[in-house]
Amino acid sequence: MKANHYLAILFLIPLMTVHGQEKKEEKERLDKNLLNLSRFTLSGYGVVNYYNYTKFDTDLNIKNKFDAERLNLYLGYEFTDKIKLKTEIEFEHGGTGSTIELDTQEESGEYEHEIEAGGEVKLEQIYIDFSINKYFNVRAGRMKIHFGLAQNLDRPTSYFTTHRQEMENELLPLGWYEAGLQFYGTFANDKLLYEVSVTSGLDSSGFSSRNWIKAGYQTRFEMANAESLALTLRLDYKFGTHKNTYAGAAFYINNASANRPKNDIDVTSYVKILEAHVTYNENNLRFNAIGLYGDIENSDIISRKNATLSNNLGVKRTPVGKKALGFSAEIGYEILHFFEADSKQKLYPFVRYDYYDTMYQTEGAVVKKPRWERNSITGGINYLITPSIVAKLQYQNRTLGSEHIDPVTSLGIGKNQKENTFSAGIAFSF
Amino acid sequence: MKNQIFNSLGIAVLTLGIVSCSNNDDSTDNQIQNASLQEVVTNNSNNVIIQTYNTLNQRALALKNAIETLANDKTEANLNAAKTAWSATRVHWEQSEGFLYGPVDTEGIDPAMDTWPVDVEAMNNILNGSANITVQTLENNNEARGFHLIEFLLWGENGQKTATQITNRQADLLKAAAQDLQNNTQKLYNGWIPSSGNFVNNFLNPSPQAYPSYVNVLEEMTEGMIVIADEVANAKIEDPLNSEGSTPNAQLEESRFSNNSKTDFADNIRSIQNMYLGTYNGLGNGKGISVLVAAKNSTLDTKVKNAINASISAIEAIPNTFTDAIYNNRAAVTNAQVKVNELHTILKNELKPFILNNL
Repeated sequence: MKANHYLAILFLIPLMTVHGQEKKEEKERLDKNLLNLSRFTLSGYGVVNYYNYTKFDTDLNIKNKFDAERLNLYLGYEFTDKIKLKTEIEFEHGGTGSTIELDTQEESGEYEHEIEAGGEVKLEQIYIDFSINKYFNVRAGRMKIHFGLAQNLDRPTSYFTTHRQEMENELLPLGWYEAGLQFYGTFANDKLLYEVSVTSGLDSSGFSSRNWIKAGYQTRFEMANAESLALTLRLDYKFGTHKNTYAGAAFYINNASANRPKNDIDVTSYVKILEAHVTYNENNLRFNAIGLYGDIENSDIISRKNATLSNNLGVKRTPVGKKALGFSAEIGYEILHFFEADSKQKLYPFVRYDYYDTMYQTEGAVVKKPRWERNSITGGINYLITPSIVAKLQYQNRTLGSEHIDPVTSLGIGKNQKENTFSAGIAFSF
Repeated sequence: MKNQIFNSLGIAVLTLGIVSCSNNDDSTDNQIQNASLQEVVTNNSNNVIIQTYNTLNQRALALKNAIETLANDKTEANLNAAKTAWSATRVHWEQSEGFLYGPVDTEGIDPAMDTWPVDVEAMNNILNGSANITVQTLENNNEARGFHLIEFLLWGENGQKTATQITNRQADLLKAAAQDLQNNTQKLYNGWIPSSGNFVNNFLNPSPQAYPSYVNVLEEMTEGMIVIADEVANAKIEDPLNSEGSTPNAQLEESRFSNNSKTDFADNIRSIQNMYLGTYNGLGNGKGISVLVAAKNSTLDTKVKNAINASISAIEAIPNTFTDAIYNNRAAVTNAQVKVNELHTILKNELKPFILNNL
């Protein structure tokens, strides 16, 4: 039996568990008004940023930019106290979205582009949450994979930089949502939290030098291939009073070549990623750090096969690193209370460090490219005008592993390439 | 029966020239009209597209041999022979860019053969390493292979490279790159021919699964011509000519190490000409798109032919090298760009609607 069949059976477990209870609740619900506003929930957040590229060696023609980065709205409905519908709708960059349809029924596979009207709107999450007991609960549908720290600290009031957390954002899909089942619960007086996800996985045709597995996140087609399911495990230990004070680790595994658009690789390409993280938010100190290590099996075969993919797929076709390594840490301290003890406003100066190399190690004949080793230091200020509105200012200094070539003489200048950016943004969360 | 007649006619036309073709197509009878659509598709597919790829593959084989000779014996004469072989191969690649559809697109062969600019960092990493340099090395490093890597290694950054400057590692890389290039030209040729990938069948026998009718095939052919005209005018010429506002930047010029850019551009327009006239390098029966247009709208036919000729003449009239001209003869470069853009406009706004609405 294939893994997919197990998933289908797993789907039934939560349904059976809550079936009896659901009947009673359903009757109660019908007895009430059909539309009960108190059962709806709405929350969301949004970000608008400005980027000024003060020095950008890798793109001398880069333009300063405004970016209406995203607006995420969470709509929920409580069918019963134990069964809830949760959805997340994201509007990104105010652009248009498109999908590609691959028709293998036709001789060589025709790709069909579809432009969706009305800007890029994505249904990021849609799942039913079954609360069974505190030790064991189930989500079924399309939901967030809680891998890494940035997936949890995703509201702009939860991270300091204007843009999303760089190291994780360059290596991993953010936000990362997959369809399937998720089991979660707490133990030890709610101090230990676990989450096990069996979901759709990655497609290795999107892997690249720069972003490692990131674009292997299946978004190019209308539906995600589910030939290989992904398993994600996570464990966290809460040790403070704030919800963002905990330490933990997560592991992800998936055979990413089984999910390619065509069967052009006949070996497995297991992607294994391990991360450990800590986040602390107590009194006036906010701190977090994460280390990440990943490995792709047969990355040289993927590199070779990706090189011959159709132009129409819109993938990078660049060689893929076997191992990726990443580390980041940020710290901020609230200083307004020194001047005004009972102020509701907050002022956090912060510094952040990112190190990541998406071609940390290569396999076979793939040549490692120093350009993809990146070191970045960011300093700035977060000003929380109210607890839910934040204005941000920062300066970032990014150094690449590659040497800068003088564009006039075409000679190396003996210094590494730099990408320095000033940025500012306004964001909210409610 | 009808096909046989046309086949015999085709042979006759080879000797008589193109004018007689137009006379054959004067009939307004639907069946004859359809037959001539089929003839144009057949001729352009078999005699222009497939033969271009066939020649490209043969030239790539000759280039591979020339580079092997050079690698074994690094003399100036052998270096020059390799350079000549590179240019001879390049002609047919550029003349194939008017039909960048089919296997070249769906098998990712274009970026594997003509990636540009050269990824010097990746190339140096390969040269500075100690691993054997093989074809597989290049297949694994997609940004460091193809025409421009070979060009860079043969001519050098400033075009002044001598045979003695070619290191052993560079010779190894040249050999692997030439073999890799030839593998790709072979794959491209095989992708089209009936005895192998048979992409040509999609054109010769329209079906709902691929191209529903000959008009759709002709639309694809015209679209390919439009794409390359646009690329020559608005990328290949425009980027180096006006990189930042109106500042020239030779770094953005393709084929600048060999000073082959003007030839590249003219050959791109010749690929449009070959498809339009239905001839290639002495092959083809002259039943190109022109025959169909001339039968119904001779004004448009003349307009397209004139625009093609004007584009080629204006490109070839650019004095000295293209690198020099973007600084010192900007008016001549701009004139060529204007002419190619005019051709692009005619193909897009007049020829394509004509094909869709009148054939």
